[in-house]
Amino acid sequence: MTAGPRRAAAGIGFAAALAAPQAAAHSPFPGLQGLYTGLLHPLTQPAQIMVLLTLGLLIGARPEAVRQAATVATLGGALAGLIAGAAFGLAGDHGGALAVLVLAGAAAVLYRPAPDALAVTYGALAGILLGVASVPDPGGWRDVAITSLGSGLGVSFFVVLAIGAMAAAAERWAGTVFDTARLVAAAWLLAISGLYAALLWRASAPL
Amino acid sequence: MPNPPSAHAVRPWLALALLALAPVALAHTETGAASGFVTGFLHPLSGPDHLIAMVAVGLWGAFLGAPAIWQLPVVFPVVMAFGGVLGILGVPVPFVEPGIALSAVVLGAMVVMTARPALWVAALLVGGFAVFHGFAHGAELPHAVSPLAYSAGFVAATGLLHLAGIGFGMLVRWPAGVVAVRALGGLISLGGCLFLLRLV
Repeated sequence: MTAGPRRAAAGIGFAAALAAPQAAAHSPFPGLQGLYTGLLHPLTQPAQIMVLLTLGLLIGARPEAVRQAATVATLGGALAGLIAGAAFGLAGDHGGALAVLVLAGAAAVLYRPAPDALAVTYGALAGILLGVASVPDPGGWRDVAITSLGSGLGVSFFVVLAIGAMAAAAERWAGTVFDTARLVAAAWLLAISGLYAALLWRASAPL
Repeated sequence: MPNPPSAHAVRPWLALALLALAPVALAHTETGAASGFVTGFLHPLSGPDHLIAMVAVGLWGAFLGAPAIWQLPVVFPVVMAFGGVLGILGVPVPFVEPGIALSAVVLGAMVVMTARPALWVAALLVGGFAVFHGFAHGAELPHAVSPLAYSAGFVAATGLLHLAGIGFGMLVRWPAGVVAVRALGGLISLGGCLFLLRLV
């Protein structure tokens, strides 16, 4: 298959993948609904999507050993956050904390070169917050357990996807264009998260 | 073995698949995140003084060439967001409206003169004006249904205005294009002068 049709086929596949949640919304296995909800949870929360993008920008373009360490730290943090969040009843939106996390991560991307240790530490912190923000609302233990399992799998999948996709992009388009795109994306994330945090602040404490 | 389908043959199917998605996107335009994004996206486009200055940033970047062409659009949203936060929090910043009008005058003039100062000078100039633009927007921000979607729309529109300026600025590769870009810079500067006069 030549490049044109391959690209078009990829586009159709992408469009079909986007349409899939509609079809799956009425699962014939009601018990699995929580698992499915948990799996997709990171994609339903824009603040979590921003954290995933920031993780990709900050970690994805680093050497493989650093990338692996940061990914493990992120996944470990997510597991710890999910368990601790469920144990201490921390379910909630946590939009403000996620915004501050994105703000710090985007600033670290713009500040070159951010140390590798910072990227690994950031991964652990981001994982913890993603885990806490994915804690299901209180309910029956079985529903909570299944949804938590889905959330854990979903966060893990999208963390690996974000970092892996950025690593692949860095390898494929290494050079000025990639670096520029990465910086522009970081600038946008920093601007969005800064405005978002300020709006949340004003909403919680009207001036 | 049959020939593989050409790109032209597959494109209608791709368009059909995307069209099939359209009802999903349109189903919730009036509430929540989608509404917040659209409102935020339209905000920078609603003020002509903002609009022309942001286009001028892209035009000037095109004249300056790499790396300024991409670094100015990195500087602007970051500093603009800082100004926006000042506006949201109610921190007073003087001469906001004159500063916005002056940004169009100066940035347009830079394009007309094809000025090529050091990168840090250009970044300082663009960043300094970005504070006024951000503040004005921040002070006017409504209590959005979805603050995050609103912010994303706002920043995306700003970035796309820069991109529009860069796109038009790419015409400088041709002699006639240089004239066209400088003429647009002149119009922007003139527009800024009119906004300044209106404030006097």
